[in-house]
Amino acid sequence: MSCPMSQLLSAYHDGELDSAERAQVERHAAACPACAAELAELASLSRLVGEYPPPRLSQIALHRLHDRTDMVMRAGVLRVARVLQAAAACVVVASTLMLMRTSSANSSNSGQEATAQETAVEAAPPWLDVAVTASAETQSLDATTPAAAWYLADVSSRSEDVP
Amino acid sequence: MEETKPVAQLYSDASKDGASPRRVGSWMQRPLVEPESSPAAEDLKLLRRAGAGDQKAFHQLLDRHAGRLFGLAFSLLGNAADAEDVVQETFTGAYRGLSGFEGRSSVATWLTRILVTQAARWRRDRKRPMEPLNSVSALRAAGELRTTEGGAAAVERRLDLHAAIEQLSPEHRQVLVLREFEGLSYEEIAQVLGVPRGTVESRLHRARGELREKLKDYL
Repeated sequence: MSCPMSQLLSAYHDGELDSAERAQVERHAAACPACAAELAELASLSRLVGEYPPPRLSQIALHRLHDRTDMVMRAGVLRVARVLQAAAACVVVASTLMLMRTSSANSSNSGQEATAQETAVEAAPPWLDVAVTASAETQSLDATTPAAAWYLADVSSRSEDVP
Repeated sequence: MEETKPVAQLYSDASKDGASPRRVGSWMQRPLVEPESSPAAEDLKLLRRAGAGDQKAFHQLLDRHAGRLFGLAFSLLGNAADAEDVVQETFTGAYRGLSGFEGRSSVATWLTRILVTQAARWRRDRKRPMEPLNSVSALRAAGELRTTEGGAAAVERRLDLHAAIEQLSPEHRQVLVLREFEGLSYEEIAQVLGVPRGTVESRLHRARGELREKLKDYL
C-alpha cells in the first residue's frame, strides 16, 4: 500500500509544484521513510536515464534530410504546375466551346446579319469611313506599288553584298 | 492506445485541451512578449519566410531542429533508421502544413507535436514493436555502443534501461521520454500530446513507478 502523498512526488522531483505544495511534500517526506526512499529513487532514475542520451544525428543523415526535403519541395512545385496546367486546359476547352457555339449561332443568322451590316455601313460616321479607306490602302500594297518595289530592290541588292 | 488524429489537426498548432499554464517552462516555453533575438522568435521568422515560399528558410529550420527531433524519435522508436524516417516525415508534414501554423505554440512545440504523432503512426502502421535493444549486436546496429563507456557493466545497464523503456505503454513512454530526455515541463508535454496537464502528471507518475520496479537493482 503506497502512501497517498506518493502521487505528488514525481511532480515535486520535477519542480512542478508551487511553494505551498513543495513545503507540504518536504514536511511529509521528513516523517515518511517510504516517501523519502521514493524521492531518492526518482533522483537515481533520472541520473541513470541521463547517463545514456540518445545518439546524435550524423552529418550524412542531416544531408539526406535536406536532400529529401528538396525533393518534397520540388514535388510541391510540380503539383502546383500540374494544377495550373489543368486549369489552363479547362479555359482553352471552355473558350473553344464558346467560340463554336457563337459561330454556329452566327451561321444561322448570317442572312439577317448581312442586312444589318449593310445598314450599319450606311449609317457609319465620317471618321470610320477614313479608317476603312486606310485599311483598304494597306491591303492593296504589293510589289507593283512604288514603295514596295523600292523595298524589294533594296533587299535584293543587300543580299548580293553578302559573300 | 495510440490515437489517430486527422491530418488537419496534426499539422495545426492549436491545442485541443484547455490546460492552464502554471509552471516555469524550459526552452520550448513561449513568453508573452517574445524577444526579437530569442530562438523562438527566430524560428517564427524562419517559418513565416518559409510560408511565403522561401525554401532556404525552411532548410534553416531543419538545421535548427533536426538533431533534437532525431534524438526524440530515437528514444521513442529505438533505432536510428526509423528515427531518421520519422524526422523526415515530420519535416515533410510541417512543410505541407505551413499554412496551418497559427502561432498558438512555439515552432519547437509544433514540430515536436508532429513528430510524436508521426512516431505513433509509424509504430502502428508498421505493426511491429519497438526495436528490441536486448543484445549487444542490436545496440551496435543502432550505433549506440560507440558512445558507451565503462565496459560490459555499462552496456548491460544500458540494455536493461532500454528494455525497461521499451516495455512501457506508448502513452507512458511518450511522457517519460519528453520529460527525461527532452526536459520539457508538464505544460509543454500537455501541449505536445494534446492532453490535460493532470494526465501528464499521472502518466509520468505511473511510468516512473514501472521503471523503478524494473530497474530497482540500479537505483
